[in-house]
Amino acid sequence: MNPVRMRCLVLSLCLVVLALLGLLAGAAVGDWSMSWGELADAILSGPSSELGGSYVVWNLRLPRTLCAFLAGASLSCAGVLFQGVLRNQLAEPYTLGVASGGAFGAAMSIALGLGASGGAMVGAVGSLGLVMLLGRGGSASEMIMAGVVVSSLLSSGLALIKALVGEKVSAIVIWLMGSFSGAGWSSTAICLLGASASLAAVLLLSKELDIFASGADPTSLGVNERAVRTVALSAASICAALVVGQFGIIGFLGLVSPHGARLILGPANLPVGIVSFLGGGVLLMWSDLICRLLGELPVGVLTSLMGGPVFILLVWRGSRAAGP
Amino acid sequence: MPLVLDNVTVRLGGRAVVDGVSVEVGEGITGIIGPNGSGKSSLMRALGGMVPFEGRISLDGVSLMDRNRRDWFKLVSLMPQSVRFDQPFTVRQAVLMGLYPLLGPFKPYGRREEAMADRVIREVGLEDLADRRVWDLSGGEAARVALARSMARDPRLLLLDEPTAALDPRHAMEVMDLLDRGWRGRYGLVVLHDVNLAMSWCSRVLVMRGGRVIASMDRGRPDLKALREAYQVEFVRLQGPRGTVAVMPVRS
Repeated sequence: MNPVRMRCLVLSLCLVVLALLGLLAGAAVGDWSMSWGELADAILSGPSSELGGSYVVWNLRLPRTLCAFLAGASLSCAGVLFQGVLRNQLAEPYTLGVASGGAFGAAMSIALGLGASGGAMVGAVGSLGLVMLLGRGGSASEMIMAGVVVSSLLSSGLALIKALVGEKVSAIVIWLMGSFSGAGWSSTAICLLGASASLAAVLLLSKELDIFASGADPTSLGVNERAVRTVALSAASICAALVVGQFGIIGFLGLVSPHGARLILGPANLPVGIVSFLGGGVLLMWSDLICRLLGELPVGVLTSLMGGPVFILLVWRGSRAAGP
Repeated sequence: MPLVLDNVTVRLGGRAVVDGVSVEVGEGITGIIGPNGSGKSSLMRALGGMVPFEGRISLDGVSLMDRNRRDWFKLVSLMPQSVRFDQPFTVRQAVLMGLYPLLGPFKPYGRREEAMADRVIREVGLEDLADRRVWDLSGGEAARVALARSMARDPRLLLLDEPTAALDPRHAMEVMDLLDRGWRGRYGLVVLHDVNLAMSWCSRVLVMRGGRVIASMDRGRPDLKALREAYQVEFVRLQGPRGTVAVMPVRS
């Protein structure tokens, strides 16, 4: 077997095992303490509407753990798509203003006394639409420029809202940090949709992403550059918007997971996409578990704290591997 | 039936950078020379299906415009002027990408495509480097990878835009040798800045200026008047050993 395929297979199996262990740990960890026997009973007895171990496991802990996995997988695959079609290794799911739009929409909703999620979703999708409109027909760098401009405007808007809302500012700040504490089965279904869409986009477009990433002119090889870019960016941005809309800003996964996979597997996007999907899911799932153990820390803070140094390490190792 | 270009015009920003080119090109390697901005690359990009154009191009008696986009890219392969490798793909992976038009979207590369890539890698003499990263290759080796990627799908018409630009004379001659050996019975158009390389290896050389083909020269028979008109400098003819002929620009 091709060594890259072999490494991808071994890594995927390890990540699946880690994901299953994380799911089990996610069902076990929380304020409602249970013995291993009670946990097994709660899992085997299935969902219950009565308050007890079964209710806690099936209605609170499992959907939350699954949401964390699927959100991490979505953001990581979105990172693979962004870095591929924008030909920019620092591109990530929030490059086209999705995070700023989501944050602005959520802040506006909170300021108006409405739920944050709806506003965040509208803001994220709206900013994405605006960036697509501004950068339509342009090159990848023009698209990134449009994202930077829209992000900057929305960040200013967010600062203005924070300055005007008074005591509601704390609710906005907490939402911005990202958390899975409110996750339920409806959130899980939405996350599953996003994760499936982003994985499908990576699997179906992996050949085209390779051509984009290689530096070749895609048009010279018969690739419909505009169609591929539109499909990939739409899929990635909508997945990111789904995550931001429900759980707030969770940064760095779209960078760390794909770059980590590339360091081990090389640049081909098919194995990188599969391992990023699983790796991002496992990383966010275990990050959320740690946050729960540390008394409900916002998960976005932890991913940023972990992601920054890890990212610097990856870049440093990558530049050493690439040579002078 | 030859490759026929009938009144081909390419406009960029409203200006005709290729201006009504009509020419018939036979099998084998045909060179295109001319000064910077004479429309050579734009003509190649039009033939390669990368820019819109007016006029008609037919290959083997069938108009390329009557074919769908995928068939066009199966028949015609373009190696663009600037070849770069942004990511450390292996030589085999880079060459496989040249087979994209045979599969189109959604289908993965299979054993047949891998065999085709390996064959062309052998043809260009890179078999020992097939699993090496393109970043670890010399300029000459990287140029051969780009050439192999263009040749991989076995097109009827191969378009090479300055394939020897970054190469020293020996490597440039190796590339031209490779084309001379491997591209008989098919059509090849090669843009070159080295007039002598074109005169030595191409069965025919088209001279472009101002978006038009102003002259056509046969192998080893330089037209000094056409060269002077194209480049606006004087050329002299030099007789080499074994009947070889070269030209050299001189200060007038």
